[in-house]
Amino acid sequence: MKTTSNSEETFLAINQHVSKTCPFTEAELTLFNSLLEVRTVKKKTFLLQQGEVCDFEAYINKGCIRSYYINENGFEVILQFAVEDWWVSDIASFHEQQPSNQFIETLEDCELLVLTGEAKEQLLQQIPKFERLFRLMVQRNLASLQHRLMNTISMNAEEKYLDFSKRYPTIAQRVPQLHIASFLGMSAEFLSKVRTRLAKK
Amino acid sequence: MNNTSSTERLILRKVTVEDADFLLELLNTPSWLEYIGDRNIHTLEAAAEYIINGPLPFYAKHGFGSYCVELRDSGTRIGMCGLYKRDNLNYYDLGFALLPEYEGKGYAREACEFVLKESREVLKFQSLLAITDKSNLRSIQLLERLGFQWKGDFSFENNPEILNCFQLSLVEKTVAPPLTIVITEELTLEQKATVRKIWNSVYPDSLVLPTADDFDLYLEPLGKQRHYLLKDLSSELLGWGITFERENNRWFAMILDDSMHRTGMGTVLLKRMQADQPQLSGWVIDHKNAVRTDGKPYLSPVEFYLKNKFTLESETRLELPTISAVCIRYNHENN
Repeated sequence: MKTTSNSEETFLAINQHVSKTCPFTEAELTLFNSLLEVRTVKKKTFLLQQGEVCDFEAYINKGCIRSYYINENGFEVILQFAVEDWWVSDIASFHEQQPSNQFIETLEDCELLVLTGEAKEQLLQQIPKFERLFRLMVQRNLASLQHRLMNTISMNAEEKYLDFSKRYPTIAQRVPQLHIASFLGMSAEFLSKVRTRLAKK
Repeated sequence: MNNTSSTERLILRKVTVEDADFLLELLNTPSWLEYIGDRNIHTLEAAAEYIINGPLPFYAKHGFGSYCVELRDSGTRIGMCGLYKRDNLNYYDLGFALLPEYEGKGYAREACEFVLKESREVLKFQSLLAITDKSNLRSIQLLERLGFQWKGDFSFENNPEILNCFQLSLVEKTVAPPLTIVITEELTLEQKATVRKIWNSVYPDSLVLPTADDFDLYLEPLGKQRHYLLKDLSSELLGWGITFERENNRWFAMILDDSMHRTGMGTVLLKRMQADQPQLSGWVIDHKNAVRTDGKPYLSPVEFYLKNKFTLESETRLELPTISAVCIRYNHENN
């Protein structure tokens, strides 16, 4: 991983992103930006591996990332995809400082803005308004997890794929289909059949 | 096209050996290396060789290909855009690349639109494909603006990298989906089962293979088998061809799933087999009395083979209780 020099453009997206939740002053944003670490990461790099403690929340400026765990049968199960304007982290490991059971891996060359645990603490002490940002983030994340849980329980394969393509229209083209199959809890062959069936409709 | 054509802001023309300096630069830009691949061309000589072995014979064979894109105003060479053909894909595919300083100005779109127009109006193609890296968002966006649709994942045979396959239909009627031809010397059990299923549905009822053993009995005596499997992106088998040796001649047979009927895919599969074999012989039913198991008449494919440079050998016939057929032969040297 390499740290690059920061320009205003680097923080443009994230500043818009945080400003959606509440207004910040120039000075507040400058302080916020100074606490972020800019990292460019090659594709197929692990940001986190099972057994490590996750010490970051990373905002994606550019690129695509997946998080997954390996189940008892040795298969990868994908928990989440993340693209531009999303955050990635292992929330449990980050907050409890416990070893993670997840892998977080870049699928493309990425540019990330990384907030470490320490930097986040500083940020919250100096600008308490950021609490609201992170509360909303957790809220959204929980809602999306609930949605995913309900889909897993109640939808058939075709509905799952249609819902996925609607919610994440660009991801299907950006990640290999076997990853999408893993995210949806089906085999790649089966997903292929589902897509063929849908195409014929 | 002729050697040069122009659009509003661009000139598209065939590449010549004089463009070696430009190709050397283009093939080593960061985006070419990241999204297309390292062609390992680091000298003028290597670039000239690339042109001599790539675009030039392609133009000679097809009359079109991948063009050099120039700015009309200054004559500056800014990129390449045009059609490529992969041995094992069923349609031509669109490719483009610009030097980084000319990206984002709509030049790629303008050049691609010219190539699409040529494909539709002059070359009369039914469909084009485009293959992109998964992370090449800029190209994906352009393809979608041009009307291409994402059809699924695709990998080249010698590279495990998973890529995107897009398709554009250039005609009103439905076209075949993106298909690959995979060549193997032996069929798996699963492949045999699918081939037998297609066989039983499209051949006359007198030729039906009721069990897996019957298919094995058919294949057993055939020497030096080469199987050509026509598959869609989800690996579903939609056609099968075989060439084999019998009495020092190369023989062949081929069948296509009904969904491939009248899509031009028969020619695609046959051409692939013809590319490997200078001579091919086969038996075809040349009468209208054969009936399929679904009750529909079996249509004689004689016309199809004549169109594809086979000749009829009227006096050589196969007359068995199960089949009455005439011999057809293809000889590369006569064509």
